[in-house]
Amino acid sequence: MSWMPQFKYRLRTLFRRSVVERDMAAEMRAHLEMQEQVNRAAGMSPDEARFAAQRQFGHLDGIKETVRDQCGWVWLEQLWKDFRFAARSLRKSPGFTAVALLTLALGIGVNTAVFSIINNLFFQPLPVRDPGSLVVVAARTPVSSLLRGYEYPNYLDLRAQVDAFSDLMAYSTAPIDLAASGVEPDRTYAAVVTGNFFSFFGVPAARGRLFLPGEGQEIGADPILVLSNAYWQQHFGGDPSVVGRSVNVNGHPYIVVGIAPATFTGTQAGLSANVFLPVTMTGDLMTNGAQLLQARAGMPLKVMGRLKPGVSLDQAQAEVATVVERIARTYPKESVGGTPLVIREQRTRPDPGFTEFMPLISKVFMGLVGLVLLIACANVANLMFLRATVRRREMTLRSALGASRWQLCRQLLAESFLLAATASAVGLVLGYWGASWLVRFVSSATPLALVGASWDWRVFLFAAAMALLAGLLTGLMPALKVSRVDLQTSLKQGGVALSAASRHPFRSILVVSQVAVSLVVLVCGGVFLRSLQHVSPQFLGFRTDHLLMATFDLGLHGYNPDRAGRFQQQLLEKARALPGVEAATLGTFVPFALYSSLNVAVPEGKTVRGIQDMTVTPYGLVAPDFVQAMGMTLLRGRDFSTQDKTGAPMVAIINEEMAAQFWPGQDPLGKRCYVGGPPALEVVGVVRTGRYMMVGEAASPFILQPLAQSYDKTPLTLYLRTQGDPAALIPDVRNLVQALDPALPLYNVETMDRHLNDGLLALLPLRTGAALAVLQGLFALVLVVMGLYGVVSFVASQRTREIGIRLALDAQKGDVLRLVLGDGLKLTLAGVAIGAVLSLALIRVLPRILYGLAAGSSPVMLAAGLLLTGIALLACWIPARRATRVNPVEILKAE
Amino acid sequence: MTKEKTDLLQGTLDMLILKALQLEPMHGFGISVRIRQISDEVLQVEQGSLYPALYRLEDQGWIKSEWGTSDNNRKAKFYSLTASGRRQLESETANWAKLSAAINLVLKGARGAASPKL
Repeated sequence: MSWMPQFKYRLRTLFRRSVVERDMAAEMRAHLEMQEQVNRAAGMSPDEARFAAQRQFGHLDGIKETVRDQCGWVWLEQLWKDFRFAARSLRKSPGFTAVALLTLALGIGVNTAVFSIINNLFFQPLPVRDPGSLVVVAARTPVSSLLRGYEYPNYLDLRAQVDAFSDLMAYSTAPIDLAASGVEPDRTYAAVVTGNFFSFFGVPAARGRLFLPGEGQEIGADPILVLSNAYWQQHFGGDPSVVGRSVNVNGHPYIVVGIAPATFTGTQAGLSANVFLPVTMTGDLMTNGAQLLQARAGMPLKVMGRLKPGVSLDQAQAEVATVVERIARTYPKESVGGTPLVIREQRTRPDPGFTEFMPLISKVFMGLVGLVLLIACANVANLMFLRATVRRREMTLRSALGASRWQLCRQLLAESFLLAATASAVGLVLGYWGASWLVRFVSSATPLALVGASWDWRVFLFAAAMALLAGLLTGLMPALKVSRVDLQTSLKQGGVALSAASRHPFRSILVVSQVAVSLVVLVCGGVFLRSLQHVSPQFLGFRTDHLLMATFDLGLHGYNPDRAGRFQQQLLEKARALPGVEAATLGTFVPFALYSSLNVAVPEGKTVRGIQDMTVTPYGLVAPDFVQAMGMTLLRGRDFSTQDKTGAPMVAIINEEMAAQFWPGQDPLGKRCYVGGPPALEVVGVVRTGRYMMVGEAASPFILQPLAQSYDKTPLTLYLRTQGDPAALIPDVRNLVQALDPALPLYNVETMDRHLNDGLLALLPLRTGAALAVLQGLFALVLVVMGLYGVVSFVASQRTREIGIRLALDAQKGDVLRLVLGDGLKLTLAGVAIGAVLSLALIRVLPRILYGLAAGSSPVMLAAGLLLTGIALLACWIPARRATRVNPVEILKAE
Repeated sequence: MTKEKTDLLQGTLDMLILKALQLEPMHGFGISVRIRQISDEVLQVEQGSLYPALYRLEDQGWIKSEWGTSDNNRKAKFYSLTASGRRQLESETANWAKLSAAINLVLKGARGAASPKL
């Protein structure tokens, strides 16, 4: 190893500096002595000999310096010095450091939080055996942009006939109601899987057993299930005796055979399944489930395979295509067609249905990352500028003492990189908190729980990359600009500054853009706030206060219309009898629910050639007194009553909007329309138009039909109008339903106000938007103030001499004030003008959540503009005042 | 002080030092004496160039150093060639031979060109 001695030597020079130095000194001393001896031998006197030797040798320290400089580690030493110096100078201005640090840390923290979740969703391999060989088998069909899976019989054929896979597995998800003695019935999501599911993934049981080879083969034969570890902990308190116990799935008895390991959460990375059921039991999960499962064209499952070693994706795809073609030839009627695809599992996240989702989300994410980071960096860059200009004298001095431009640059860059690195560390901590908050937030809003964020080397690498980028972005421009010190003018301190804009175009642009951004964000926040104020019972179309809701799903439990009708009747009677209940009603309609039921409606007499002639409308089947109980405003006609039952004339209640669309200018009462199909319904009531699917939606038609006249199997929601706090009635309602059917879980049990405030389609986006925008707006405002203050005070200080002379020449204080304020005002007004144009454009394109609410944003804009200008003036006022206090005598003396 | 000039000098000095160490390990003073001697007192190596060069060569891994005792019982740092140093010397010697031959050719050619051609 010829590099070894060299390597050892280098290490020694790095870590044993003092030894090397001593060696060098001793060596040179020895040299001198030898020379001295030679000189003496040549006949010189001792003194003469020594001086001659020294003369010959030259400047000892100079030689040492040269040796040191050419050592391979000089750069490292200088870097270390730069960073130490940067740390010291940052510590000297704690205010600047804190603000810059916090800004960058927030920017980096937000990004890290999002990235850690993205990381988990998209980059982590599944926690199963050999995740690299997993592929998804699906078809691209011409009818949809989503990928289609394969029906159960087709899957069986693929599994038997395709040779490229060592195994194939299929699954889907379904909502189920799970009940067990001693446990609250629960509505949850199950992974419905083929029998080989667990062996396919190579996952062992944590407790009990998983599905055995013979299980999940015969339709309806295996009422067994496996619980996920998390679900077992949450709902059964980790009770080991659950294994082997009978539980109730949609009213059918099932045996819990085992618990899946904690690391295994299901097929989809990042999304957890709670319960695993054999796909052969689909009959218990949906109406006609068994027949649907066995149809060749009906209910596609998601299919996953394991590639045999050495088999390429193309090969596998070709084989699948051959088999699919054969199936299509054998069953031409049932064939749905489509091109088979074999895709790596990681590329199909978060759902195999979406094609190319990952590249897209990556791009969107990268864009967002860039934007957030850019804003933070722009702010910090401006601060750096401010600071650097204040340090002009220092720079000039260092430059005069021989520092090169590169050295000055390096110094400033060291500061920005040090800041960015520290911010990145703080950002990681913030991001960690943020991610856990985000996970909780998202989990509460979506049916399938996010497993969480992943903190591994990828996140740290990401944070490091962000730190590098931030360091460069915040440091480079100011460093290049400020390090260009013009010794002549700076040392003389003479030149009269022109104006802020001409001296520092970059900073002026920053200040202007900051004012603009600040205005946009403030206007946004204001519009959001105004929109929130705008939301009232009149606007929503019903009263949200004192209203409790609770949902249950009779269809899953196989209730027939008769039994369901009796259940509803009893539930309503008992609910009305509860103390503190003013009114109770039932409905399939839930405002602002994640899944709204829609229907198509057509007025009688209209010719329908296709879907384009029908009106798609939010729709609900409701119990008597629904309009009154919900606090909707009945404009004409009547509410539903117990008389509206099977056999009675089919009736409907519509809203004003629908009346206007169907029968403009006519009396809608007594008119007839088709909803979903014949027979025609007679309009008996008209309610005021409200909001149904989203708070921000445009005025939309709405139609209600009596529940008793059209039973269907969708979930029903019980509504209770209460006298006191509706949340207080939750235990009573639970007991009531338990008494009627112990296996029936209640879900979405909450007050309407809460549902409205926290609903993804209700006010949550608005509230979050308002909070974020207001926060961001205030933050931007602070930055504007600091930026303006910096520019104006800098310019004022540059003009001290000029101001002194003007004052000496009998200028009034007001003149001086105007002079200095003028600069700041120009920048502010430019920013406000640009910001106003941008806000106008933004309000125009703000997403649908603001539709119908954004009206009247001009007062908001005016207020924001005035606020911004006022605060900006204040920021300029302080340095301007200081400028007027200049003592002309002192200034002129100082010349 | 321009960079090119030192580079040229450095390269040559490096070669001379390696050559001086070819036969036996030597200390810094010895090297400077040796170079003066073999060059018939033409080449005087300044200490200010010698030591930086020695450290540079050691950094390159071409020579290594060891403390020892000199002829008159004085502690001194002795430098010796490493295997890669030997290879370096060979290639530099070859390069130098090629270069000097080429320069000679040019100089002769220049003289030839000055005389009228046939």
